[in-house]
Amino acid sequence: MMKYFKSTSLLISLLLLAACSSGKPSKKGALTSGADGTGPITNVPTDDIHSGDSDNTVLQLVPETGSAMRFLDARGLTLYYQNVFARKAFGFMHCEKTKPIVAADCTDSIFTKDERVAMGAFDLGSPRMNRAPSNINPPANLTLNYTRTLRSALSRECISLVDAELVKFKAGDLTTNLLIKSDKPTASEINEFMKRILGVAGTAITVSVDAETYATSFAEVVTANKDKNAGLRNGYIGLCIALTMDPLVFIY
Amino acid sequence: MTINRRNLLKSGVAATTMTAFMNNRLFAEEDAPHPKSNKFLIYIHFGSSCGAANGLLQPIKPGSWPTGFFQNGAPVQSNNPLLNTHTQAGGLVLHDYIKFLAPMANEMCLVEGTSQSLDHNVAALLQKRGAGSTSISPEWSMGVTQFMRTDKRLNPMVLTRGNKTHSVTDVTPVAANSIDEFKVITSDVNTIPKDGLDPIWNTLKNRFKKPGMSSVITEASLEANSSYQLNTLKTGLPELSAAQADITALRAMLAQGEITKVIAGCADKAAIGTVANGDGGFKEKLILAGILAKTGLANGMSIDAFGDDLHSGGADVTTARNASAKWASISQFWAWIKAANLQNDVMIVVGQEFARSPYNPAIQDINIVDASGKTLTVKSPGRDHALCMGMMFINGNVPKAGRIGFVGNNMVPQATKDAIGTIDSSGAPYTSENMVGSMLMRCFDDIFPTERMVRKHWPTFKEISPILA
Repeated sequence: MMKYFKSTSLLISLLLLAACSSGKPSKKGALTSGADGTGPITNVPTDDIHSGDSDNTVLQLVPETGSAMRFLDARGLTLYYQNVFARKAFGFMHCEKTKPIVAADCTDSIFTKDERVAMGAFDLGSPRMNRAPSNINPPANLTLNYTRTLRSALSRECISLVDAELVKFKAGDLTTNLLIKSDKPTASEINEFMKRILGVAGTAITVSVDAETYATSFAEVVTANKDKNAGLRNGYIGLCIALTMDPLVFIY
Repeated sequence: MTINRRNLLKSGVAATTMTAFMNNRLFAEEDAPHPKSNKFLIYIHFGSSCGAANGLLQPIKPGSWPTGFFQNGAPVQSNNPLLNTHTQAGGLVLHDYIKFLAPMANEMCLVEGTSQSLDHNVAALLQKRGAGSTSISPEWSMGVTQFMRTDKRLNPMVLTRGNKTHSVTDVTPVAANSIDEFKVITSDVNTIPKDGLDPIWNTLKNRFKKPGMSSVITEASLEANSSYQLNTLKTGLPELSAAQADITALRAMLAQGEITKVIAGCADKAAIGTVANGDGGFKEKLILAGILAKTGLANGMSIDAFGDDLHSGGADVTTARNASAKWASISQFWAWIKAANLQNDVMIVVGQEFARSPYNPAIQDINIVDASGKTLTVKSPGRDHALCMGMMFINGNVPKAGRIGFVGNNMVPQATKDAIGTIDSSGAPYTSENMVGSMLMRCFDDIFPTERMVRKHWPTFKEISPILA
């Protein structure tokens, strides 16, 4: 129930953001310090042409008291990742070949129950509490364990996504493809994929993840591989992992 | 319109997270840990095996077990004559299966006390982490690891599957049973293409330089940290790559041939050797512990060695053989630790849930080879649970061949006044957190300088003065 409430709350928040009501006045001010709760409230572009807010600047967020960085845990990350990694009939990819104790172990998170410890997930107060080791504190530092576990889970999902989308790409069917739109992703396509991860797809909000450099890097990867098909596959897998583990995704 | 990212995330995401319960960075200066070297604690759990057989319950004098150990109220000795044959080494009285420990007795101290519970799960938690549930206190190795936190290692590693509690927020638990497993989980998965992706990874590394998150103050070390990790994951931890000679040497010391030499003086050596040959990965765990201790990559490890809940018979023989095989590996491991001059930095704690009660009616007939070389059939009865236990501490600074706390007649644990086992009838029997905490204050005083620091992890701790004398 709690999980449903949290998911619904996030969805409502995202919808409100996307709707971008013009009734709320915008404020502008000068930045003092990042840690004291005040700072520049930068306007973001909207699709409401009457709001007077649009100034074509990149999304900027309001600093808040105690703004030391925090890391999303396994539950939080999955709320983002489900925007691009679809659940299969068995759930997420870590359950492709393993039978779970309960189905929710496969649908709740892209991480296995042993991986969730490294990601700081805990299950206090839930039936899952005694089935896996729990870590009752969120990760406070970027540890090797966290990074490695994140990449391990993302590699499972990205390989599944890329392989499925490559089949459709080669068949000329791009309607449902989220990442692979061409054999050379453009900066715009990369930004759109990033927006989809962050749950702001379809809005006028822009994100900046150095997409042009990624497009160039992708081309280098493909060129360096003698097998063009393998280069294309590897390039998209690498791009998928890099974008899904961008600091914008897991640091907040 | 503006977006407060934290508020956006709070509803769905951050609501599930919690802040640390205790800010354990706030210490008075006299309490603060200042590690002088890389400390490493290994806790080895001997399950619910019989203390008389596994060496964690010992008589005060050779050749004579206390009354009531094997038959209620009676001064009867073990049905296995090899358990009644003893070698004295200082305060330690070692039966035939573990007499090879005598040469290292000066780095050993046995502390006996109460198990506090006869329930397997509760007693296991009490002896592994000083409390009967998993949410109160951390495992011993986690407590040591937390106080090894430095600016250079903000999240020191500990090898365990146990869960963390509020006083060990910074440790990184890692589950691995061998060096090879540890290498795998500290490097990228095989499914990520290894070759040719450097241009993309370089772009990713640059993203951590300027993530563009004005809502958070990113740490100055984020770029360096993330680059180090992405580079390390591609090639593995460099310290492990450089440790191959040590790995080879330690593996050689724990090879079956060397173990055979260790147990050569034991009467039942053939059966012990068979057990040692198939030890369920125990030696591999010791190799992992040794290399991590020497390289400084981690600060603790918890190992479940064996179980032996032998209600239906066999404790006096089967457990003696199982324990002997494990002790032989431990003694070889300790020899390697000393050769590497780590005997003051590494502490081994061997514990058990509880000792076993006097014989019950169930019996197993098991053949042994006795001291004269003849085959003898031992009637080895079943044994139930007893409210006592022992812990063996191995470190260069423990009371030499020490004997603190004593389980006496009718398996009653008693306090003692000194390191040679003088009974203190006015004292309460010792408990696990008091035993371990006192040894940590004695041997690892740079990270546990005061009793307050021990209580950060184990709040009910009280010093055992004979340990600290």
